[in-house]
Amino acid sequence: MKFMMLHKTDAYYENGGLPSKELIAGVGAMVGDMVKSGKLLAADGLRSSSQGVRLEFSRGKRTVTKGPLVGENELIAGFAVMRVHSLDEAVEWASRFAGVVGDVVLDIRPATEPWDIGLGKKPEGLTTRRYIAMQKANARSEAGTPPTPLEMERMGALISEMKSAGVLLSTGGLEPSSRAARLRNFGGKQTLVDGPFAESKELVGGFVILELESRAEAIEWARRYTKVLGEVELDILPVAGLTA
Amino acid sequence: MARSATHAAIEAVFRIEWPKLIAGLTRVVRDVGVAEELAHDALVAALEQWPDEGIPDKPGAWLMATAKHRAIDAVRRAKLLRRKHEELGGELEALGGEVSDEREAIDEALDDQIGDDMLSLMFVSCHPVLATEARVALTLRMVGGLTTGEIARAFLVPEPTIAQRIVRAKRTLSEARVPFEVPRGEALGERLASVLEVVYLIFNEGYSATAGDDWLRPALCDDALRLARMLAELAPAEPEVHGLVALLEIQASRSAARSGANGEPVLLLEQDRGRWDRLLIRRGLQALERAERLGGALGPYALQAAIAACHARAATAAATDWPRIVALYDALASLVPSPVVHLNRAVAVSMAFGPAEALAIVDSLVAGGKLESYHLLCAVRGDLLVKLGRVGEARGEFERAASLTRNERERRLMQARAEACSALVAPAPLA
Repeated sequence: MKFMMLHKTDAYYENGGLPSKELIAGVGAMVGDMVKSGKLLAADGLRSSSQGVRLEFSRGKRTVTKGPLVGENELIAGFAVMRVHSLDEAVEWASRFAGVVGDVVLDIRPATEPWDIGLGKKPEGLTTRRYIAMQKANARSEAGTPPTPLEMERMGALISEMKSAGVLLSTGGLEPSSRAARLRNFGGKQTLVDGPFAESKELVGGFVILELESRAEAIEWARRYTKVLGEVELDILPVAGLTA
Repeated sequence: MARSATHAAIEAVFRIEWPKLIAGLTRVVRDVGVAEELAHDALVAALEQWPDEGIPDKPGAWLMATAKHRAIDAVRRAKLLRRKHEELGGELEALGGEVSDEREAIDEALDDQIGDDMLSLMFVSCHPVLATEARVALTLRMVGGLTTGEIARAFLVPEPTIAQRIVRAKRTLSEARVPFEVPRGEALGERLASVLEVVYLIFNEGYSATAGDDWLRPALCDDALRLARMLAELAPAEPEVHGLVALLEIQASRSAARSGANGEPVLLLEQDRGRWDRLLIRRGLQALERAERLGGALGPYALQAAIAACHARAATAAATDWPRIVALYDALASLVPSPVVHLNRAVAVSMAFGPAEALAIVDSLVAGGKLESYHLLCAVRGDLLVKLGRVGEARGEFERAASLTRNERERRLMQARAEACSALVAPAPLA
């Protein structure tokens, strides 16, 4: 079973704050444990929402809101990691995605590269950057409604086009929040709440994807992870498979 | 926390800590079997204490300290050899002090040595003194942390069979006094090959189930992938480790596309590539790059990964770079002179240069007689004959393939292809 753990961000990082050395070391060791156990599939942080955009598609009409973004409905139903030349290019691909799925809200934000937080040097001649598009949950995704055969077909075609253009690095759909759990770590106390979640106002700060045996194992990793992250809210969501 | 939730949490902690626990304990007691008993005792202690006291802050260190206390008792009870007793006492004394200090010390000692311990555990579990099936079972139990029941279900054999296999394997290791260490020098290459082979066998059993009703047993694929990824962290300088990771990641990326709506197998070139898992492909291509960056000629696993990568990179089946695949198979055949490799090469030759050239290769394999009872030889020959318009002969090949495979899904696929040929054969003229 694949699980995505999304941790939420806060005002400090939204205002451009950098993680402390201790936090970088702690998260590094934690992610190292996940890697050594053979269970980590992916891990990424997101740049502040001021560097991103929100796209709202309604009846074929697109509304673009530039960051900084306000957390409204931050429950995530799917994601895609893209390598593109600009935010505008990422927006175009995301719009093509919306063309397949219909009414949808998507946030697009740059992924954090090591050199963004002072670790290592940016490779010379790198003209592209990774952006992460997050599809917000809605009534349909929360109901677990499967895609129609036509949507499947069109999504397959889009994925294959994005792949041959070298744009799509990874993509995944998440299960409805009724199958999720939320772990809050505040004031030295951990509280676990089972889904479904009516809402989530906190913007996402980053995620890890793990291949695990059970939901209980996901929660145990989440406990360890939040201890390292500090004051944080973390959503634990089963990954359903490819976004379709 | 409710009692059942605590039990689920303890089980989860155990999943996470088991391999480290076994590896650390085996270093101290020098016996995988004893280490397993101690780890099990620690689990029982956790099940007794944690529901009331809560899960400790550092559960791994708690389990290790508890297991080591039991180790002292075990040593006293069993009156092991005096030398061994001192060795063990020394280790434990060195960790010394009060229980809490001891846990801290163990925690640190573990962090320092755990990588080496885990790698040693892999080498011991895959030791050549053991039969292949014993290596597989022991690796899944000790490094993978699967229960004997889980292993038995994965391999469709009764649980006592697996339990027996593991008991015998532990005894064999103990009697042969197999040292708990990472082999050095010349021995390393050979021993590493054995570890890689075990991981590959586990994956393959999941990926193309040789027996039973299902075509895929995904849990085994996941376990093998996890073992391979662990190995890549433990032995990062070994190109073939990354080659194996790359091969498994890319093959696993196709899992969802390999079965049709009714569970029937869908062959590579007919798969819906939109269902391939991009994340795993990406990981596979990265692992292949790591293998290539380490330099030297690619080994068998990296070459197979490079072939898999050709498919992964092609947006459509028609866009596959077949000449490159043929070249990679040439390189592979020179390293692994196996008729199966030649058979796969023949398939690539057919795609790159036409079925007639490929049929000549397959016919020479038939003449060689080495793949007589291999169902895929018949299946490939059948395919080539269909392409050459010789459907009557093709039907015979598919029928033979159906009679040779032990997998039910595959048998039905071959039968269906034979029947499809029948439909194409013109009725015999009336005499």
